[in-house]
Amino acid sequence: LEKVRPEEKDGELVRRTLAGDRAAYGILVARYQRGLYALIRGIVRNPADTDDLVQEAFFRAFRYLDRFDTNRNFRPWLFKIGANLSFRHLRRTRPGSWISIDAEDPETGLTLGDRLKSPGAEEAIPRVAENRRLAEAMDRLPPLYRSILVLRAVHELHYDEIAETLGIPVGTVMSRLSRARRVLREMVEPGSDATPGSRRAR
Amino acid sequence: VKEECTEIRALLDPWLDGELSTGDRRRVARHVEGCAACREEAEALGRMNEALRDDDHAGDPGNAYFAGLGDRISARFDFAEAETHWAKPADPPRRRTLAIPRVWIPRIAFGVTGTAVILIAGYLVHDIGDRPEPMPRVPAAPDVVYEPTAREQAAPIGVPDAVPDARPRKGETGAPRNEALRKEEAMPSRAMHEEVKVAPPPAAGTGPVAKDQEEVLSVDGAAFESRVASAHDDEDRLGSAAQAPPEAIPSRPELLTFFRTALEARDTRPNAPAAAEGRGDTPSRRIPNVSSSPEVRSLRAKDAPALPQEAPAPARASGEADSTWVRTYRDRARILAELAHRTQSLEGCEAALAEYWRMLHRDGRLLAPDPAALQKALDPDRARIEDLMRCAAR
Repeated sequence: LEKVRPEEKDGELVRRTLAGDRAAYGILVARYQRGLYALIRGIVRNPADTDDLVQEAFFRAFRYLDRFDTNRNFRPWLFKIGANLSFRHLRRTRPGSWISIDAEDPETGLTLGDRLKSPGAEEAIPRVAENRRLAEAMDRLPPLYRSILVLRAVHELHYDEIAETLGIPVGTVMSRLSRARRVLREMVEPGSDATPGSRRAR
Repeated sequence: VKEECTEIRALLDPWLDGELSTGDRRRVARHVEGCAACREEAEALGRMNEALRDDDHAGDPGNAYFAGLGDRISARFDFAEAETHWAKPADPPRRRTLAIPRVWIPRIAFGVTGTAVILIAGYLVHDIGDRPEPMPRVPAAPDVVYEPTAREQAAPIGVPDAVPDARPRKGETGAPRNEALRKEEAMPSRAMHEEVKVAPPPAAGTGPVAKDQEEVLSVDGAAFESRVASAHDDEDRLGSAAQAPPEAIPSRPELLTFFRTALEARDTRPNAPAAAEGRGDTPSRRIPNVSSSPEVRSLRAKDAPALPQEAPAPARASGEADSTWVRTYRDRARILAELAHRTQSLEGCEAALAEYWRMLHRDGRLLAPDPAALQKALDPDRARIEDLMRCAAR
C-alpha cells in the first residue's frame, strides 16, 4: 500500500482507481480501515467476524466503485456498505442472539427494559471494571443501538452523516441515539437517575 | 423548574454532540450552569461517551493488523475481475437538491408555514394513489430511507439542475433501457419508506445484480432520477410519463422526482401560478397512473384520511402581491399534498414537507414579499397537515 496522502481528495482517488490505478484504492483503504473496523466491530462485537466483514466491505466498495458519486464523501458511502454488511451478517448468523429492549423474556415475562431497572451493584467502581461492564453492556445492546453509538461516540460523525450512513432520518438519529445512551447507561449503572421523560417512557 | 429540566434533558444529547442551534445551545448551557442535577446528568453522559471511546480503543487490533489488511484483501478477492464489472466512467449525474436546514426542522414539525399542503389533498382525493405496505416494526436492519444528504442540503436551493444525462450507457441502446425501466416499475415496490433498490442499468456482459448486492449497495435517488429522465421525452417529460404508466406503487424517490419535475416544469413557464387554476391542468392528471388493485383501493377507501373534495377558497392575504404568493404556494402545495398522501407514511409526509419548505425558501429566506402575511394566510391549515401526519403515522 502506498503511503497515506491526506491531501489527496477521496473523489480524486476514486477517479484514479476507476482509471485503473489500484494503488489509489490502497490509499483509500489505508485511510478508512480503522474507522471501518471500529464501526463493524461496534456492530458485530467479534474480532474474527469483524476482520472478515471489513475485508468484504472494502472489496464490495471496490466492486461497485463506479456507482460512487465522486462529488460526495467516500466515508459515509463506505460505512453504509460496512454497516449493511454487518447487519446482514447478524441477521444470518445470529438471529435472536441479541435481545430487543422490548422483547419479553419467556421465563420471567420481563423485558430487558424492566430488567435494566432492577438494582445491581451500583457502588462506585474502578474505571477498568466500569469499562468492562460497559463493554459487556455493549455486547448485549441491540446492534441498531450499538451502531449509532459507535458512529457518534467513536467516529464523532455529525447527525446528518449518521443519517446518511444508516439510511435513517436525522430525527430518528437523534431519538435513537438518545435512547441508546439511556439504555446503555441503565445497563452500566442500574438505577442511575435517568431523564424524567425517559423514565416515564419506559 | 421541573418542567424546564425535562425539556433540557431531552436536549442534553444533541448538546453534548454539538448539534444544537445557537439559541438552544445557550439555553442548555445556562440551565446546566444553574442546575446541579442536570449538570450531573450531562457529565454522566459525557463520561459514557468517553468510556465508549475507551472501549473502542480496547477493541483496536493494532497497527500490525492494519498494516497487512490491504494485502490480505488483495489476496482474498479478485480485484481484476471486479474491475470488469464497472460501467464506463462517466460524469456523475447532476443531482437536484432537497434541502432543509436543520434549524428549520422544528418549525416544519409544527407546520408553521408548510401547512397549506393538506387542504389540497381532498381536492385530489378522487384519484389519489395507493397505500404502501405498513411500515415494519423494529426492523433488524436500519430502515433505508431516501434522505437529503449533507451535500444535498448544502447545495444551492431552488435552481433547477440540467436535465440528468439521458444518454444510454455503455452497451445499451435507448429502447432496451426503457423496456428495462418499465419492467422494473412493473414490479411491486416494497414499503414506501424504503429506498428504491435499483438494479444498475445492465452494462455489457453483466447480469442483474444479485439480491445480496442490492441489499448492501442500495442506490440513492440520483440514479433513479437519471433513469426516469432518460426514459422520458425531454421535451415534455410529464406528458410522456402519462403515456407510459408504470404499474407499481410509486416509491418515495419516484414521487419526489415527480414532485420536483412538476414544479420545475411549472416554474419555468410564464405565469406559473395562474396555470394551476384550471382543474384539467392539475398535476394529478399527469402523475403516472399507479396501480389500483382492488386491495389497494379498499385500503385507500378505508384508511385514507377523510379530506374535503373541494379545494378551499384561497385565504385572504394582505395586498395583491401576497395573494399571488399564496396562490403560488397553494398550487405547489396541491402537488405536494398528493405526494404526501400517496406515500401514506410519516416519513413520506416529512419528506414532502421538507421539499415544500425548500420550495418556499431561497438562501434561507422565505420567498414571499411579506412572510408574516403569507404565514398568517397559511396558518389555518396547520391542523389539516397535522391530521394527515397523524393518519400516516398510524
